[in-house]
Amino acid sequence: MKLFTKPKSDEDKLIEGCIAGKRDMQRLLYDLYAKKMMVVCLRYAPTTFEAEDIMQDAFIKVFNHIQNFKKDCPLEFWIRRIMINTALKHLRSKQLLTVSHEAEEVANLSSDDVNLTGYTMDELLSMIQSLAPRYRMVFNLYAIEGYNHKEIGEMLGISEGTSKSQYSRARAILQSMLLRQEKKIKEHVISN
Amino acid sequence: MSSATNNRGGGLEEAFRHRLQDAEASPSAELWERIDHSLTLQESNQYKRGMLFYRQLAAACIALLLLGGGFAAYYFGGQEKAAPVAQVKPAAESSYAAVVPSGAPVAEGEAFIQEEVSVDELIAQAMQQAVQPQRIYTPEREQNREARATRQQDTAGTLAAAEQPGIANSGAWRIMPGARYSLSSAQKKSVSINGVGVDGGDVRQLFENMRRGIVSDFAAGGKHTSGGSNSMAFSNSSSSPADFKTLSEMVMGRMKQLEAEQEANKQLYKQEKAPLPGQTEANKSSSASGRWSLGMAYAPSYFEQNIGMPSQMMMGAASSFSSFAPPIAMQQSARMVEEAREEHEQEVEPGFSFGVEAKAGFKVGRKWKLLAGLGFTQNTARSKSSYVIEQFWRKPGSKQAESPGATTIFVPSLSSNFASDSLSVTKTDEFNVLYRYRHLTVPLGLQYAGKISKDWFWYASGGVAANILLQTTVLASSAEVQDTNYGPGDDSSPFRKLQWSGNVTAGVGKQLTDQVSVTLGPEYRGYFDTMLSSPEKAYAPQGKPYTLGINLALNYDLGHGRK
Repeated sequence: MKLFTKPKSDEDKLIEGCIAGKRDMQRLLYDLYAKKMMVVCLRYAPTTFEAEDIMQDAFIKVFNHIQNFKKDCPLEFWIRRIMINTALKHLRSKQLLTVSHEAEEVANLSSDDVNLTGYTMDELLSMIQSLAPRYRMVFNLYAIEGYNHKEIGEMLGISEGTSKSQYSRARAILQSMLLRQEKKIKEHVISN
Repeated sequence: MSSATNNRGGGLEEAFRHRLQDAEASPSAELWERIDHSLTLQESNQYKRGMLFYRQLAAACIALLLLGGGFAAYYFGGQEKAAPVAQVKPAAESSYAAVVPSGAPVAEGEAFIQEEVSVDELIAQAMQQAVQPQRIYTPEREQNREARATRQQDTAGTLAAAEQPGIANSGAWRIMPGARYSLSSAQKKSVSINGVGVDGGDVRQLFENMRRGIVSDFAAGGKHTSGGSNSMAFSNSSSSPADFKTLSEMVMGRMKQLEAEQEANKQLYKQEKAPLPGQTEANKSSSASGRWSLGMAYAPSYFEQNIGMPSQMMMGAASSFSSFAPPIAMQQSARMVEEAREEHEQEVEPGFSFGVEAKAGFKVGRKWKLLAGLGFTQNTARSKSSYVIEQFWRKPGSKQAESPGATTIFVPSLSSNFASDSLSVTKTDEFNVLYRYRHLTVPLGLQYAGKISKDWFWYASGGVAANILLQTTVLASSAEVQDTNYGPGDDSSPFRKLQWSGNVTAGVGKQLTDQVSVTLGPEYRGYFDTMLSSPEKAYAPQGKPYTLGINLALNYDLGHGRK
């Protein structure tokens, strides 16, 4: 019967091992994607502790449902999607996705003004984490994951227009943060 | 990714995506330990749930087998039992007569049992007594009871006395209002009930054991346990209502506990089966029933009945009727019987046989499936014959002869009673004979399946089946030959009424849709016994029959089908 089967890739073997419940294979899968997924969780969660909680739940879901993975997309994307959905569920359960009424002062800068080369990843993550949960979600989903506003509206249970307006606000807040940061740096350089 | 992936116009988005999309950060070292721990807990819970399910499945299988066995026993054993019961009844009466002398002293108001009592009745009465309020114990009544017990001991009587009006008994097995009789605790002698000897203490013990069995299931400790002696049983019986109340409370308590556990398990199951992001409702609903499947199978086959022809069939017959028939006639008959035998041996061949089955499948693991169902098989063999054989027996005391009718050589060869007072063998035009066996089958099997490609798979399965004979027919196309037909309850049938068989099949299958698949493969079914119930009594040598055919099946997965 093996004459009819294609040779299995390492990923296939990994998936089969996980489906069979082999712990060493599950560990291998975890090691393979844990670092990337940690950043995803950090982007959605306000703290590292919560990010790890989300990641734990998400990986358990991955192992429990990996037999449903149809291989119609890369495994990494499938896992990432589970991370995002788990994060959404987590935040929803904590009622963090209620509409915020933050009256932050926002700047209105053009896109050309943005340059992130001088920032570390931790700094960028801190900026995103400092956003209100709803803004953070919309910004992550739109700007980084690449969903459109209609999809985001469906995922978060809001209208497309709300998603757009919240994104604009999140974007403006981030730009404002960046501007403030740049000013600080400039002042620091001048004073030195 | 999504429809909006990439090509975001803003520099901010691009900058963030560039920096964060493929960024990596190490989680804490103990995160895996936590995941590992959660997975272990989950597996443990799944194992517990699985065990519970398999226990229920095993209980269901046992119940089904018992039901089937009970039905078979009832169906095939009912007629045989009728005669022994009739024979035993007078014996019971005589034992009663022997036990109770006509001059035995009988107290006023007491009457010996005039009717037979069934054990069930006694148990029912005892249970009824247990739920009725107990009467007040008085020393006088106890004295009366003791006196009565002493008298009964003297008579070595085995039957209890009827209740005296106004006299109460504390024993649950004692006299009840409206009851005609009961057993005395002091009596340990045997009673003949419905022809079956039942010890008075045994009946009481039976009930006591039942009660103890129930109590021990629900309560640890020996509150309700009692000694096996009659005196203990008697003393315990006085607290029957209290026991019953306690028992009821315990049962209700246990039921509530079970309900709570069930609810908790249901909640846990729901939580764990919470849908994956993006998973559809259909997937959700199907996950519960994903293990079950239904199937219909049709199996045309070749059937070898494995019933031969004896090489010396006329030996017994010749010796039997030699005294009545002229030697020339005898020789001619013997020669023609021999020819008929040889013809049958040469001409008999398998006929078109088939089986249909409806099966339910239950997935055990990813590749194994447990199958059970109900089916019908019709196995046939056929031959050509040119001889008509008729046996005659003379009625005792008269010169009249009687015959069961003209048959082929096959029917007489099935018994050792081939000899007759006279035998008529006639040669006619060649005609066809069909031997048809119809069975109701109850199969139980295990199937293993493996994938060949995306849509194709292979399978192998094996199992056993109980085959209940519905009808056996020998059909002849000649008007001169009488058809032979045995029904399921026909005592004159020499064929086995319940036959076990083992079957193996293997083949390939194709998944037509996510839920529907078809399979095709050869099937072998071997019967564990001969067709005849007493092969040693037949002239014809008997082998174990078998079928060889093709199994075509259509399966429908109740869940979401293949994964």
